[in-house]
Amino acid sequence: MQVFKAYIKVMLKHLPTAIIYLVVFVGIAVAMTFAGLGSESSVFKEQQLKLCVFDEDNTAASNALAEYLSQKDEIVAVENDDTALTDALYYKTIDYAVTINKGFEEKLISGETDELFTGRGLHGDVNESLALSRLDGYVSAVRAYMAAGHDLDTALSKAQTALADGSKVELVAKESEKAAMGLEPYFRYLTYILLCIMLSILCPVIVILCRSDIRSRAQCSGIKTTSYFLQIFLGGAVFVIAVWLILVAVGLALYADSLSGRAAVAVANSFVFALVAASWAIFISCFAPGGSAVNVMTQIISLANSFLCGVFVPMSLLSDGVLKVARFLPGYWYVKLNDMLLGSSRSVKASQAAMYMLIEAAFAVVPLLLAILVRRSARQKSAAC
Amino acid sequence: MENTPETIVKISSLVKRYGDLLAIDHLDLQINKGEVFGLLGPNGSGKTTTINCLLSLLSFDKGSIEIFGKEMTPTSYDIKRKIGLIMQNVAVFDELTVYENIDYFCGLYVSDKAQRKALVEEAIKFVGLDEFTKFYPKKLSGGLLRRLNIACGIAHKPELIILDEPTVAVDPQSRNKILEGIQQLNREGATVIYTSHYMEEVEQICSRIAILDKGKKIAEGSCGELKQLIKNTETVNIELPSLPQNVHSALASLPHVYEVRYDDELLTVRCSGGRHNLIRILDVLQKNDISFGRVYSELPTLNDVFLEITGKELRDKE
Ligand SMILES: Nc1ncnc2c1ncn2[C@@H]1O[C@H](COP(=O)(O)OP(=O)(O)O)[C@@H](O)[C@H]1O
Ligand SMILES: [Mg+2]
Repeated sequence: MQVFKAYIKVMLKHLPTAIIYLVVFVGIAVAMTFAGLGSESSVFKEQQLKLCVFDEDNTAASNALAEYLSQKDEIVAVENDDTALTDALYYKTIDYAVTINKGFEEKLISGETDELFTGRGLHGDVNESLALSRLDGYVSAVRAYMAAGHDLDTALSKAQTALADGSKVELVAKESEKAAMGLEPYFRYLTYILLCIMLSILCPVIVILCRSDIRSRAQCSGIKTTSYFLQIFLGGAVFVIAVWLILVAVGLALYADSLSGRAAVAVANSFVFALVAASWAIFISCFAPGGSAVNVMTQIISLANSFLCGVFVPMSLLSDGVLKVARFLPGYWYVKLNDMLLGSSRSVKASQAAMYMLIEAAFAVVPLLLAILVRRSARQKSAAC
Repeated sequence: MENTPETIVKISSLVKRYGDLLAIDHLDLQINKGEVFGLLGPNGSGKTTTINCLLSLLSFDKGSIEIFGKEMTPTSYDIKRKIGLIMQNVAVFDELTVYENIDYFCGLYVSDKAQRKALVEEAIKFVGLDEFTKFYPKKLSGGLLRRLNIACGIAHKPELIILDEPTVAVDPQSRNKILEGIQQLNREGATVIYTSHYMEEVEQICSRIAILDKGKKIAEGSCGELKQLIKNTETVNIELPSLPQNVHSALASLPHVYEVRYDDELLTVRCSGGRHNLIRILDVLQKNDISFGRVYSELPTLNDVFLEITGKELRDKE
């Protein structure tokens, strides 16, 4: 087990880098979680949305709605312009923009439900659902009072009073949403940190053990080639599993209250991704990059995978072009499955989960095969190793 | 009673090509037990390639290699266990200390812990790195690094030690220590193959020498035998400000003189056999009233052997 031991020793020398990554990552995760917990009570009290309202109807009914919204939420003025709105949504100046369409009052009286409003928000965003349910709630309340025989004006004012303290139910919904949001981003960010650690540590260690001079010394010794590579493989496996276990354990400990069968699948998903990251490290090690080249490549690959695949920026904000490219990256499939398991969409079939993980696994197998090819042709060309 | 010596390494008509380049050209070598065998040749003559083929690190095109009487193949682990290799480049882990490095490479041969500990400590003492066991290679000077490289190759007490230019870029003091070490290992029973492009080293420690040029063995024998192969017996060097043509001719027609060269204010006269060559040459100069500076006479070196056979200097003039 000499090679294995040397592997671990060399690895330990590179460990400070990994520890820095781990500490920073876990530290940020913990800080974000507890910061979120601290403000939770105030979130319940206020739970305001930042809305932008355009009243195109300008009738008693539409004015009353605008008035109701301004009491419930914060109204932010934004130019009624496509770019301005997109920017405002992106930078979170507003959570949702609603246009009260022309004919709102007439439709309200006649009982029509189509196209009362035109809304704009981030697709799949919690705030969008909140805004929509608020508008729906208001319209149904007014309808109910009118059906009960009140005229429009009375119905409008009664609805407003009735809805004034009807927020309890939404708060509960928000609370469970909040907890799941902890686990989901944590596992999402895992893709970044796993790539960073594997590429910046596994890769240089393999480069060292496969350096031709050190390899030829081993090749001249009594140790069998298969045993040599087996021990290198074992050393790598121990490292990958250890890093993965630590990261998953921290995540599960931080968000223990939201564990479920889905979380178990998400854990499996993250293991598949750890293998992908390790396999990429092995592939890159074939080209024996120097220390700074490894760092540059680590950052390029982990950041590209993160930004293109919706790790840092939600997929809903990415353009179709970017998402098409992202399909060729493992992070895309990982983040999608993770979102299905832990995120807002919350719908996933077992077969779908299995397929996504298989696609990810393909991103691990292909670089491994390429690595074997590259090493073999390099061995045929070079003098030793 | 004198037995025929045991053959340790036998290379027969070895041919190795790198694409179009013929790196080893039908090389035959036989190395016997207890020898310090020198492989001497200029850079690019094929020394490292020969060693790599010998160790099955490199496949070759033709020929056969036997070590300890058995054919050497990439899977001849029993043969490999008895060989120690010290490569041209220092091959150690920068991440491991001196002790850990030697322990690692020794551990590729010896798995028993207690036995290995003793061997590693002995190797450290042998190369004189006692005070540096906890140092990392980056902190060692060139000479100490070379000694570490050697310790890594010999800690397991191999019967056959192969050293490929172990003294490149080493200060004279470390170099002497290394050469003495090799001779001591040889006295303790190891057979040694030593490659170098420094003829002085080879002359100093090798009992038999093969001279390589462009992948071909151009001569083989003990140092004395090699020098007898050539006609040169003495080279006389004289510093002169100028040399008229008639004096040049007079010198060339002296008995036993076979070459007269004059460049950079230095007169070089090569003689074969005979005595009193120096006196006769100085006599010619005095008669022609030519004043001269420093005078020195040299016995033939392996460089002269190489020069006479190939027409080139062994070492590139720096
Ligand atoms: N891997 C290689 N590919 C192509 N040519 C090589 C390779 N290694 C060595 N050579 C060539 O083979 C010849 C012998 O090289 P080498 O054995 O390293 O010489 P030495 O060790 O005597 O300096 C040189 O001309 C060198 O350029
Ligand atoms: Mg060489």
